[in-house]
Amino acid sequence: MKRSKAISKAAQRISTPTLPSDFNARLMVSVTRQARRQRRTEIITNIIASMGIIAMIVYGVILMLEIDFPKINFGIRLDADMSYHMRMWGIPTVFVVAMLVAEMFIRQHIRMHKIRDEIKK
Amino acid sequence: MLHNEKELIKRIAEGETELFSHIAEHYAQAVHTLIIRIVGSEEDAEELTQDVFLRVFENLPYFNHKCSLSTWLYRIAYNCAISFTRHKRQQYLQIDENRLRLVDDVEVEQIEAIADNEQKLNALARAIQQLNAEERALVTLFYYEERSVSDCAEIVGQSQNNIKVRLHRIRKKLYILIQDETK
Repeated sequence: MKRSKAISKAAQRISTPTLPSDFNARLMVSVTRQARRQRRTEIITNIIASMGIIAMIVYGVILMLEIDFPKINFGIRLDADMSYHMRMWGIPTVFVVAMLVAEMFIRQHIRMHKIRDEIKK
Repeated sequence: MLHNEKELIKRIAEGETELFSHIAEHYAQAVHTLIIRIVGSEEDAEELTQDVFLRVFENLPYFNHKCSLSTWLYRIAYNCAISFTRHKRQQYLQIDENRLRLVDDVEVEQIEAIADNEQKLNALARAIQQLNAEERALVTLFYYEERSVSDCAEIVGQSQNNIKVRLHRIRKKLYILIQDETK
């Protein structure tokens, strides 16, 4: 599309104030603050999610092994068929999930170290 | 364009926050110019520019490189500024649709004749400032920043044909405004 010379020239004439010299410094302070907030939220979310997964694993293990805690009534009784399938597929699944959770914790731990180093700096 | 933009974005997303200052230094003034031309107020523009860069930082890990970083940045700036003006309900000059329809394409070409006339160029600059926020944004992007129609379409979120039609309408509007001022 053809660009009008007159409009281009007129658009260049409209004065545009420049940003204050300390704009970038102020922006970077806000950005750093936001980065910390974002990481904190991420860590909290990961911890909550991990705790949820762990609780699910513990509950699954209890169901699989048909542990009967005297004081806890889980309210679910498995029939023989379901119990067999749970043993067949449950153990490998629990193993994989446990590995994933462990990996998540390790990653989180490394990240926490990085943040601590950054704060120290 | 920044040198090795992809690498820079990757490193920022991985936690090297301080590298974001390169993006800010490179694009802040251009983004501020676009915003100030849309919202019209210097104070609001500075605050909005800061908001835009914070949003960019927040969403940088999700940037998919389908367009350039500058186009993506401009899109965020455009959306922020336009929603701000909508919120403020600024009033702009309205031109009667019938009047716009009556302007001939050949007539509009006469606008080119004022390219060397200092006084009329000033009048044209004033006319640009009377356009509505979306039109001013398009003038800034297409005529001031000299972005292509496809870039403008990407930033504004409309089809290329739509942008062409709107740019044509803007020329008609500016022609009418110049005519009115010289009368």
